Amino acid sequence: MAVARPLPVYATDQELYDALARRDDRAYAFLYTDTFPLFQNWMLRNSGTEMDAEDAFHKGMISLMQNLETGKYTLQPGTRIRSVLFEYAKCVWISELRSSRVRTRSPMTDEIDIQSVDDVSRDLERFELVQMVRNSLQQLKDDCRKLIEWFYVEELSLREIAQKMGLKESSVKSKRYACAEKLKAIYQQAEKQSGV
Amino acid sequence: MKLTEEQYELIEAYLGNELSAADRASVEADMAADAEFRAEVDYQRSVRTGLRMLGIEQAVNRAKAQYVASQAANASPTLVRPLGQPDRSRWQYWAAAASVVLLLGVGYGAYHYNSRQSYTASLLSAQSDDLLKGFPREGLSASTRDQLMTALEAYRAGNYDKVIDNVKALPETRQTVYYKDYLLGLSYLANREPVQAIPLLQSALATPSPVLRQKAEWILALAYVKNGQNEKALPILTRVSTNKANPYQKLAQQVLQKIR
Repeated sequence: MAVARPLPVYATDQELYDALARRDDRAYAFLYTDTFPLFQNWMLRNSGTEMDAEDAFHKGMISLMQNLETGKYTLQPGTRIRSVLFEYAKCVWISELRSSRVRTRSPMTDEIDIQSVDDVSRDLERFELVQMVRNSLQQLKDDCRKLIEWFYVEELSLREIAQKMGLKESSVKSKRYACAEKLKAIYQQAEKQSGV
Repeated sequence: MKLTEEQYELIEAYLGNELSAADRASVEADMAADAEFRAEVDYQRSVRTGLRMLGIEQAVNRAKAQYVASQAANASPTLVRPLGQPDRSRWQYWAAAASVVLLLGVGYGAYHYNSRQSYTASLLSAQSDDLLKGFPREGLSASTRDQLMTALEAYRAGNYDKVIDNVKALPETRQTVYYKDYLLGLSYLANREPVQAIPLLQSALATPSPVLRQKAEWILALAYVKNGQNEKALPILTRVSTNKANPYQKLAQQVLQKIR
């Protein structure tokens, strides 16, 4: 279980942005703690429930962090990251309301220059991809699954993985290839079955 | 297309921006000339995106866990609840869900908490739900809303027969049909009648509400387990237990351990 620790204070949004781009856990915790209560309050005032708030915030934060890491989102001068995350989560909620054919009582504001709801809707399609990748990973044998997760999810180096596995780096490299091919076979089979 | 190790490493380096300009141009020329090779690059790009997002999701989950822990430690629920709104009790729903789990014989002890902090954390991160989630909010007449609220109170009091009677008497409208099926299914299950619960919960899965569908799916899995249909429960529980965004993930993992 996570232990409550004092959160860091970032002097500027640029510092926070840089820490988020490094996927720094403390920056993630800071942003979550700083933004989620405000968003939850907004949701409860706008037809949402606590669980809706958690879901929308979760997806919004993942989308923003993904865009931040890939450079699709870059920090603009004078922009508060907290406000951007809030708007992402709002877009997720509005997008889900649209897909449920439920009318929202809270139209999107235009206060901040971020992606439109439609852009976020397209981003949400990536969650289906994540689900397929997750399911495929789960079907790999343990050693392969761990290797792929260490390299691609936790972003450990081949050398670090070699130390964990007690293998030579060159052996890990070959094993990564073999495991990636197995993952591909499982993934493509799932794609066929789902008609993608 | 079966890649050689050399081709795989080349695509890895390309997607990781590790190639020289000349090598990069060469890969792009190959992609332009060979549709199968291009499809391989696209596949690897997609999977890398999915794996990267899994890593981000894990980081967000850790941030959430820390937030939940800090909330429990500070015992300041008003920070996350608007003034004037009651704490719509996750605690009550937890008790109801736990009673379902208990009657299934999969061990309440497994879900019991050791301290307020760990209980709250697990409650918020894994079982964040209550009976009002998925409750139809629009298009209900005052009398229907009152009937539903009365049924919810009866459920919380453990009077499942009364819930079933009340909910059956509700008019079936577009607004109520899925929630009604869900609540009836839940009540039948709590009343140790999974055979009656299963078709209702299956019907509730057709709801357009993702939140209600998630709940109905989880309770349906429990109904299958209770009815001795583990083979039908397993695919659902496996899906739920591997979805980190699903609030029932941990519970599903525990149930899977019990039935495997």
